[in-house]
Amino acid sequence: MQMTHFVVQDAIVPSLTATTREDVIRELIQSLHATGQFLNTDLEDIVKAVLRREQLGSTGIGRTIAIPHSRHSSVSQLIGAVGISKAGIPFESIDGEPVHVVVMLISPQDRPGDHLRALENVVQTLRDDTLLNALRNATSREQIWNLLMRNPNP
Amino acid sequence: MATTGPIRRTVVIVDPAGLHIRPAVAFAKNAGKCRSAITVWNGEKRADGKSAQDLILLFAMPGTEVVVEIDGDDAHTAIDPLLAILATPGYED
Repeated sequence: MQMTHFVVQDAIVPSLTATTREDVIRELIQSLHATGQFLNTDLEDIVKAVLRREQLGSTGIGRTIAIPHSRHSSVSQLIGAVGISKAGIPFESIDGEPVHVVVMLISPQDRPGDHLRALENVVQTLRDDTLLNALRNATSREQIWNLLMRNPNP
Repeated sequence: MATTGPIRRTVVIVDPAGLHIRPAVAFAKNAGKCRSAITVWNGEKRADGKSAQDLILLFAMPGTEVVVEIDGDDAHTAIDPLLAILATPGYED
């Protein structure tokens, strides 16, 4: 599995405007919504679900990466969005560093295997410092997509 | 100073979401406070217990048996709280 298997290309945000953890979560979910991934009536509920999950403990896993996520019945398959913050977002990460690369995951209910596989895939992909830096410096949706496509991670 | 070598324990992942971000971060944070070296194994896959990212890469599904190995002078006090994190179901929805 590659990240391009679940990241929605048109939902990639190369330059996040949000500056807080809550706002960046909202911005990426709105970006997914704008691509028609779920109904407008589900938007706020998904935001709340991701924020509720985040309150249980930060998904900032270190090395400037965060993976906010939730399960939600409005999606029938795992979907994701990627956002890049040049300024960095305070995220209460495990290493205390601000977050520059945010990967949002929304997965269907009762599919823990898919979710865990996606988490593993994101971590494995972003383990490469060269790729991580290239993502942080990318300026367009296409550039980010191409970087994720080129990743050799199976 | 313990001189008996590393402690190894097997624990079953009970969280219905598997070894996902929250238990991985909780484990790594706790492990990071220990002086001992901490390694977690899922079969042949090996993770530094002080790295949440390493732990996620173990891809440990619910029901998986993982081995926690602790080697150092605070191993005896560190082991039980660490095992408890993996043996406790989470609350993630």
